[in-house]
Amino acid sequence: MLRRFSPITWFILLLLIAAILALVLPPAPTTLHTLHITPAVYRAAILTLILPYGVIWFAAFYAFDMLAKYARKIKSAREGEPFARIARSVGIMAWGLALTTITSLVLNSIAAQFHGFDRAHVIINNYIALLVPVAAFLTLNTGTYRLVNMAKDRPGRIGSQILIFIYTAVAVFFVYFVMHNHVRNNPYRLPLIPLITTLIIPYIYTWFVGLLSAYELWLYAHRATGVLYRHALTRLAAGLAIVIAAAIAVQYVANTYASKTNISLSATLCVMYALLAAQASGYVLIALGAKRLKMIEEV
Amino acid sequence: MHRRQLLYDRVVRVTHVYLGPAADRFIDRQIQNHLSKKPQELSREDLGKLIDWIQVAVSFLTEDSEIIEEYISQLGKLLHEPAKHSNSTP
Repeated sequence: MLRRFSPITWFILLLLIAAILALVLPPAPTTLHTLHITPAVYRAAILTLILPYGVIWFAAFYAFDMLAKYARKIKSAREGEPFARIARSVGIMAWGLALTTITSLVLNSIAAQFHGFDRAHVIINNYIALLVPVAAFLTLNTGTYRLVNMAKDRPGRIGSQILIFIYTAVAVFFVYFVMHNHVRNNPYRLPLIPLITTLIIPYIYTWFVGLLSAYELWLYAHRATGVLYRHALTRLAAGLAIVIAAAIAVQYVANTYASKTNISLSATLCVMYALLAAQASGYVLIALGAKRLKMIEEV
Repeated sequence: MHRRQLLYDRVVRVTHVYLGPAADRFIDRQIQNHLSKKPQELSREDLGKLIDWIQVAVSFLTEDSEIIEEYISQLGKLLHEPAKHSNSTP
């Protein structure tokens, strides 16, 4: 029964659930204290975030819907299985956007009622936020790896070196910021070794898999034969690269910048809006690319 | 049979330049839906009609008239190729 719901129906249901929870559940006192705001202002801020969240969720579920339909169209073709996996990964990202927000709202509310749960809710939130990219990027990579293998193509030397260089810089600064925060006020509520082994290493590994997958898909798209096919595929690859980069940036900011107590609400919202807009534009590109690819299989 | 496949293969090969891995599926659909034939049964006499349908279909995929004209022109060359390459001979 539940499987019969289209991704867009799921989007509407999840958005309604999130909006109701944002209005009904009491905010955590620590959040109010950190942001220096009243519960009413907090709810207003949450609702102003729900609207852009709604846009990005819609873009994500729509992209998932288009990509899944395209994958079904070519399921008997050689590239059918890889695209089915790519569609699944976009689905995980779309669901992840909604579920992390909903669970975060619920856990924050429980933590507001039971002080003993405060530490646990931060840890659970962090692990849920990690779980989504782990599942999505690993699934994505099984698809892009197959595509690149099918095309008998491997990342070029210069491309690989640029990717490794950029990634090393990103990873080193991430470790630096997380360690700095850990020493200052430990917003992760974890001892050092579990923090390194269960958050830092998985994040760095997952981001690399995500970026590698984006690069592999771009490579496959760039070298694919067929002018019209390549054009549509390049759109999809560019969209996916933007979504992955923005998702990584969101996690980067959440784990480094946003945990600082001296950041104002408006600054946090500005950064979040910019990243949401980037993610939404990425999902729109994925949807447009997938729609065009689907059309090639229909006319 | 070998000759029958030749024309179909040539049409797919030209289409591959524009639609990549989707080329054979695209041509199969055009033949089955508009000519009501199996792809392997494509004959030289069907080619003109097939090209017309392909032009209609490709205009849904792109607004770039240069690409459409180039594609149709490449397919049109198959019409004027010597008969030994087509399956018009019994």
